[in-house]
Amino acid sequence: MNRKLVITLSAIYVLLMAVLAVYYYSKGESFEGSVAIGGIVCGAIPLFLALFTKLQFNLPIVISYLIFLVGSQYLGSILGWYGLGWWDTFMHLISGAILAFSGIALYERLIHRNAGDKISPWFVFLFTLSFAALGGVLWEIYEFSSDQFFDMTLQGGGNKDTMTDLIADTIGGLLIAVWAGIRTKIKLKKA
Amino acid sequence: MKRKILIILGSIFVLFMIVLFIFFLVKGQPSKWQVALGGIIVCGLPVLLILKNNIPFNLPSIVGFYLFIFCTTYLGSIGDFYLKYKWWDSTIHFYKGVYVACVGITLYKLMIPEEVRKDTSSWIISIFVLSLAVLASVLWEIYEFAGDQTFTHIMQLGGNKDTMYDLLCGFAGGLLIAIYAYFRKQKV
Repeated sequence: MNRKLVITLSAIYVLLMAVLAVYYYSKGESFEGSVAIGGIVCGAIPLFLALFTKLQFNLPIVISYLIFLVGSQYLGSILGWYGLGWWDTFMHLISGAILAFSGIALYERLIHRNAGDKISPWFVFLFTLSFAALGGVLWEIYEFSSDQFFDMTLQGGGNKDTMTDLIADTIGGLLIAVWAGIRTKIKLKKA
Repeated sequence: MKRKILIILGSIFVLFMIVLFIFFLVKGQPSKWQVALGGIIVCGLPVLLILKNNIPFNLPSIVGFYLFIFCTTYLGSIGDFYLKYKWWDSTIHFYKGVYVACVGITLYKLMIPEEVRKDTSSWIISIFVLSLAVLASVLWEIYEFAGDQTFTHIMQLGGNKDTMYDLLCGFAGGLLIAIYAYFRKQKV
């Protein structure tokens, strides 16, 4: 069931991006076109994983990933919402939350089921929050290295921009981490 | 043993900072006595741990903490190493990454009881200590940023490049310990 939903949703996204790529390239707007090509690649990742691997999917992650793609690629880059100023910060907030969800999923996969009842909720909280921060920093490192090595201007906003991004990532992660910690605590009380 | 060393180290450092504080107060150098005043507080805080029956942190963490304070507060800010040597800041960030990752190992042991540790993958401790080191770097940069926005205006003078190098050094320090923790998980 999950698999079908993942396939359907990501196929819709890939198709939409393919249409946009053709549309923008035929209009001669190569920037929008190249973003749409990027969108096809990003949307194809969950699609291929669902079609060709036996991976178990975590629905909240896949759906928030696709929402994030729509927000950053379609609304942000193609429709130009990144020009609004607050949109970039907002997307970092969302990505912080997505990373935190991925952290929780990773944690649950790497810990044996019966160990879960003995581990402190604080560990879940810290693990989730730090994982989101790690993701945010890796993203900034990626932007920074692209600027250094390929003369791009991903961090054109300077220090203030980088810091706002990091703060937004951390807050997004914090919200989900608090939720995850409280959820674990309640679960432990019941057990 | 641990208790004694903590008390001795703590008192030496608090005393040292008080001397510095008075010295620079008399000399009339506000930027230095303010740092020394902060030093008194951060050196005294860990001593509060003796109120607990069982000090969770091991000896290297305690000694490492005071070494860090010595390198930043005394050598860095009061001794102007931050200004004199360009590599000082990056080195401190690297050391901080290593240190926080080591504290992460202690926290891991504290929060995951021994009997279930075998049920957790090596990746957990490895990712945990790396992320914790990075989180510490981020919080540190946020602190610097917030300070500059309000009243200090000097901590992030180096701009984006400086911030990114700080983050990279913290990341590298954490990564080192994360790799170590991955392979030595059973023994750490």
